[in-house]
Amino acid sequence: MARTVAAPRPEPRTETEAGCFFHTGSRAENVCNVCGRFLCSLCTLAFGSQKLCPDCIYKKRRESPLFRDQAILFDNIALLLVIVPVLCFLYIYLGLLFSGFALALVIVGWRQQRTLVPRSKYRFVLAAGLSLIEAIGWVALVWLIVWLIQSHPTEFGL
Amino acid sequence: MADKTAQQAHYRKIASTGLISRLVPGVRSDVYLGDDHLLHAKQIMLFEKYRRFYFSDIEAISFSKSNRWIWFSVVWGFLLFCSLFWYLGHGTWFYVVGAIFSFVFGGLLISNLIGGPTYVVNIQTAAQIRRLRPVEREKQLVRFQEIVVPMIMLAQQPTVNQAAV
Repeated sequence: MARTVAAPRPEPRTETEAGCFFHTGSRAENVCNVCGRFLCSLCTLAFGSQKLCPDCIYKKRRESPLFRDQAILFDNIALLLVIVPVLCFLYIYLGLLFSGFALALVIVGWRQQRTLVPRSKYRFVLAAGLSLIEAIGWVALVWLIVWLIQSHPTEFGL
Repeated sequence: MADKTAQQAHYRKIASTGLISRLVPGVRSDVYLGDDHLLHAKQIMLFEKYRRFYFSDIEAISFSKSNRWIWFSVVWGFLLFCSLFWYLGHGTWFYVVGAIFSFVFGGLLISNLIGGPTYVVNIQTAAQIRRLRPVEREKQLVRFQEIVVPMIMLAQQPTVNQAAV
C-alpha cells in the first residue's frame, strides 16, 4: 500500500541538478522504476521496494494485480439476485427477469471475476442452478395461475 | 476467478475469521502471506477489498487481551440455558425444537471455549494502524507471529552499505 503520510518537503533544484518531471523546480531524488521519470520526494510513491510515479500507479491499477485494491464478487451478486426476489414478493412479478440477470452474471463473471486470492467457483455453479430452478418455477407458477383463471373464471370475477 | 499470476505465485492463507463470519455479511476477512508483504482481504458482500502491509513498512504488531471470549461464552451459555425450557413442553415437537436449539447454541459455546482467549491485534505502519480480526484468537496469533515476525525482521535488516555508513 502506498504511503499516505506527508512526504518530506521537496528540495528546490539548482541549475546543474536534474528536476522532477512533475515539479520542474524541485530536485529529482528518485527515478520511477517503471517509466524512468525523475521524481522529487513528493511524487515518489513507494510500493515495498519499488518507487513509482503517480501516472504509473494509475495505469498499473488495471494491468497488474499488485496494484489492485478491490475486486467485484460477481458470484455473490448473482446469488443475491437469485435469493432476494424469492424472499420478497418481487418473485411473482419479476422472477424470470432476476433469474435471467443472475444467469447472465454467472456467464460474464466466470472469467471476469479477478480476485487476488484463490476463490472457489461453487458459488457460480450454485447461482446458475438456482436461477434455472427459479426460472422454471416462475414459468410453472404463471402457467398455474393462468390455468386456474381459465378453469374457474367465475371465481375470479370473469 | 483469481488472477493466476497473483494466485499461484504469491499468496498463502495464514489466518481467517471463524465460521460465523461466513454467515454474516461484511465480517469475513483473511490474512495471506506474500513474498514481501501481508495481504489483508476483507469481504464486504459484493466486493473484496485488499490492504497490503509490506514487511519493510511494518513498525509494530500490537495486541491486548479482550473480553470478547468471555462475553460470547456468557451469551451462548445463556441461550443454551434458555433452549432447555423447550423440554418443559409436552410433545415430540417441543423436544425436537429444544434439541435443535440446544445443539446450535451448545456447539457455539463449545467452539468459543475451544477457540481460546481473544485479543485485539493491530498492525502499524507509518501511514496507518489497522486491526487484524483474523488473528484475534490466541492460537492464531501465536502462529501468525511465528510466521510473520522473522520475515519482518529479515526485511528490515540494515544492508551492508547502510551499516558501513
